[in-house]
Amino acid sequence: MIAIHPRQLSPLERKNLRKGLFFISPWIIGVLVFTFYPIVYSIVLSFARYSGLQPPTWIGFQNYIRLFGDELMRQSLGNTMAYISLAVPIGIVVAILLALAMNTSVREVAVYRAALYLPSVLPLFAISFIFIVLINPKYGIVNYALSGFGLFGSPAGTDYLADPTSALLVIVAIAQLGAGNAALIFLAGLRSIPDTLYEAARIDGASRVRSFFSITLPLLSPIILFNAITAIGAGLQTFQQAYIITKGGPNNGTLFYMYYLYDTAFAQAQLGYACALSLLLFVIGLVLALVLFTVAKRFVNYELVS
Amino acid sequence: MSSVVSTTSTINKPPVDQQTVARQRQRRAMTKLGESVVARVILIATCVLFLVPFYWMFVTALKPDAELSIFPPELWPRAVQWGNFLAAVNTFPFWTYFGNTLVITAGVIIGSIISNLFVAYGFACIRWPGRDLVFYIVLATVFIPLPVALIPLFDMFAYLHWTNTFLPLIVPAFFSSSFYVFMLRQFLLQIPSDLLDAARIDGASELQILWRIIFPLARPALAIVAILSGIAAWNDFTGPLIYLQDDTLRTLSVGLETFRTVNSQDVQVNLLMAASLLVIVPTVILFLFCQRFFVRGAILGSIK
Amino acid sequence: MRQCGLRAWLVLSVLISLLSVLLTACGSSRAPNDVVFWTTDTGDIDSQAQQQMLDAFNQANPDLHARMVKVYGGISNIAPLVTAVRGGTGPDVFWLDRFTMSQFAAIGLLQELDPYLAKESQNVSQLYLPFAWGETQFQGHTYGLPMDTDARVIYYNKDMFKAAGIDPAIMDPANGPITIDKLKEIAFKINHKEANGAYDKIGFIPWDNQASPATWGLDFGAQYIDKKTCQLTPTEPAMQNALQLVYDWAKEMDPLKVKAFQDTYQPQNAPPTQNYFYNGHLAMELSGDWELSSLKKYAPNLNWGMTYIPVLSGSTPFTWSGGFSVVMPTNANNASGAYRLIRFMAGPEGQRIYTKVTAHMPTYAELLKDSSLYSADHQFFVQMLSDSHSRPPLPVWSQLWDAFDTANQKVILGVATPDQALQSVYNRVQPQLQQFCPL
Repeated sequence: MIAIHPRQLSPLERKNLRKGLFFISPWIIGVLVFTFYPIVYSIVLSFARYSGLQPPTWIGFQNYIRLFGDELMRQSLGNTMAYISLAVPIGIVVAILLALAMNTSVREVAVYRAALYLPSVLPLFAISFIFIVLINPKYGIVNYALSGFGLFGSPAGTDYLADPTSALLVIVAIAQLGAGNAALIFLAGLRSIPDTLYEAARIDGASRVRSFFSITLPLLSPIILFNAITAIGAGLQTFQQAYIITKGGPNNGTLFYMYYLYDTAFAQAQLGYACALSLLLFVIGLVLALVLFTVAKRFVNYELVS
Repeated sequence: MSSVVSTTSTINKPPVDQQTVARQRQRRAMTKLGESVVARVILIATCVLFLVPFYWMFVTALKPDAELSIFPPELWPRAVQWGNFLAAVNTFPFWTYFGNTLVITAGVIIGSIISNLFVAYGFACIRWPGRDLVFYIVLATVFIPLPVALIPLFDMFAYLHWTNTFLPLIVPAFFSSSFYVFMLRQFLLQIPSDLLDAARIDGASELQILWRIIFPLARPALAIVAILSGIAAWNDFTGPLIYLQDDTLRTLSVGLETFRTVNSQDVQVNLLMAASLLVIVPTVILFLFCQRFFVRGAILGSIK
Repeated sequence: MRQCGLRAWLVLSVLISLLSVLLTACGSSRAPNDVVFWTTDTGDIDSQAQQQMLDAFNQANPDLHARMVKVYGGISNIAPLVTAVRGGTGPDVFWLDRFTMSQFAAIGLLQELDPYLAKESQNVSQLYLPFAWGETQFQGHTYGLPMDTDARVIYYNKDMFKAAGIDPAIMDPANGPITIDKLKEIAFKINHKEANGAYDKIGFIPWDNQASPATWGLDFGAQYIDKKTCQLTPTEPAMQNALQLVYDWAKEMDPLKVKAFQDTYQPQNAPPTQNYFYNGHLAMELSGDWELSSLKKYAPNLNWGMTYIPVLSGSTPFTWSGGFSVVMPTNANNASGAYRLIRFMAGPEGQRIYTKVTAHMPTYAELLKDSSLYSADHQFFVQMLSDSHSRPPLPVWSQLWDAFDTANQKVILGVATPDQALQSVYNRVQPQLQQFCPL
């Protein structure tokens, strides 16, 4: 990295600077227009009552006062956090298990890899449509199968979308279909761990399980961190499944933050309040990422990463 | 599996006789067999679990109306109705939605390839003061969530009278995306700078270098960008939901959903499943042919 | 190295996007004499009626072309409208649930019709039922014209009654309204579960169809607002009783099993014939006069009867009326054409067509005297109309309705008491009302 001393830029450096800025100009414009401007606009609008159809009325901090007393906001935030706290760890565990299985030297591993990765490139809305059919209380195959095995104490005719908790679990289950993507990344990570480490551990008498926890997991930790951050980011924006399957119900049990934001902005036409909501989401995302980074410093091991 | 043993072990352990070695090898082979059986069982079970929704989608799409409400649910239709696919295409304005989605996806792919290559070139192939500092900003923006920009962007596009057109969905792709810039930069950094410097000495401009040298070399990485951005555009739901009002402009994602709620009496589940399968098919075909690129894309994106 | 035909892809994409630029530059075209009409009321029968009105209008006005666009997302979802109007691509006329009109007028979504009404030779406000006209007013201006109105009753399945050993004559409206306790008794006698514990027959669900907090609230005499203090009164005794009714009933029946019943016999995307009342699974349903058209079309062989909504006590029949309206959103492309369409649809010609096809009732007062428009069954409703209740006009009804619905869901699932749920309604909507005080 070259230190910047504006007075001391040689003509060559200045020429390169111009060329460099020229090439990254699309990005500069993009960041200004699509990131910087919206944030400023959101902050400004969050102090107004604005329907988008009339000039805004400035109301000071009223939106924020309302924000912290808003029961539905708390509920939607709670639902989103509950979703993230379930879907992210489960997703990582599932992805690691898949990657482990894909890493054993089975001849037809390419077939399994394809079958497991495929669902994650498919559109979420199509998957939502299927799930509506799959969990119909009477004619759905999932209900029929689960009741046949007597699993989870579910008699035939249970409506998994009737209870707020089980509806949330259905959405968590749908998210697991996308585990293929993360599994591939973990697979790459697994492959980059040298065999010599496992050999040495085995000779020193470590069991398979022990070497998993002492070698594999620590060396995978940067990838786990990366996956966790992206999964949390995606989880904060969950919207489609709730919009298509549950419409936020029952009893607002699957009203996710993004859904509430969409409803406030586009159905209730309360843009000022919606801007306040989006800023809160932004702050929460930042805080979560920072927390994760700080926690990561103690647990994440970067030795393998080039 | 290498048979290298650490030096400390050879010094401290007593000499091993042939029988023990053979027995150890046999045990290892047995464990390996056991492992692969267990692994296969897990893999097959998981595959079945993952693929059941799609199997059921396929089966439902083939059932005639009368069979949709048979209890207990049957695993294969009694009367297979392949005509449902044709009926689906005729009930929904399928080809309209398909064409719109195709146009938007094509636009996004082109925009992504051009803009991200340009910007990545700027960050990887030209040495300019402050370059790496600015790149840290690029990294930071990867994590900014979309929702905060949703409403202001809508207002901006409304002011420009771009709502109810494809423009809000295509134009942003022409201004690069931090994620793809990051990925392409990784790739471009591997190209030796001597090659570029030689061209510069020969009098080539940066644009010429980009087009003649970099572009051909970067094709695999660009293929990944094309595939990933294309699939994201094909599957996009929220964008078309907000910006496209006329039914003639809708994409497959939003079109199917709105059509299903508006015409709920005409749209049976089997037709909806058939239409959804038709939406999935292009992505599946692309995946089966270009698996290699998907895998590489996933890996490239994760290295920090 | 194979690049999946990347070059071919590129060429194809360039061609397609050139095309797209050409396409999108034009946007979606609207002819100058187009009058675009949007409706979220997309049920089979209602859209037929709306299309017939447009056809009649086009015939009578050859210089204009009115066309209908069905809007997704359910009957009360106006997100598509708001989005389109904000983007300048909104419709000329919109089919709006009348009781929400003042709320949407307040945010600037609708245009006032006063300039057009002033040019009329007659006083248009006199042509309509007073309560319906009242709902079109906001801060002294008129924002739409009333379309239809309706009334609500209990429909019941005589065969299911007999199968459970109950004489259907008990429901005869000639005896006056039945009490709630009596109705509950009958309903629970009819409830029946299969071997695995799932309901296959239910007597009555007091939170289904038109049985809403508003229905029971108005039934028990709710006022909704104290105009003098400009305070909403969701925690008034009438609303408490309304939600208590639902709370107790749900507890005794297990709400999850009821929802399973609903999702089984009337799932999403079911054809209109797959309805638990038409198919003999639900014995009693609280619905409106429009049901007459649906019953005729989808359940012609059902042996049904109708009677007044149950009351707590006494012999005064109770019902309440709502209805739709036609409005002109802001930024309408063809404002003069829009007004002509509004005047036609809400006028005698349009309302006549709508009444005949859908079995709603007109708000155009003259038409109520024309008995040729009403079948024998429908006359029952027309008689009720003069004593019917309605929701008091408020500029926050859409939010208030949603808040009551949320409260209802909470008590159905038993996660809140009626008082707690109603207190949330107050906390949520009262601040929204503040900006309009004094009313």
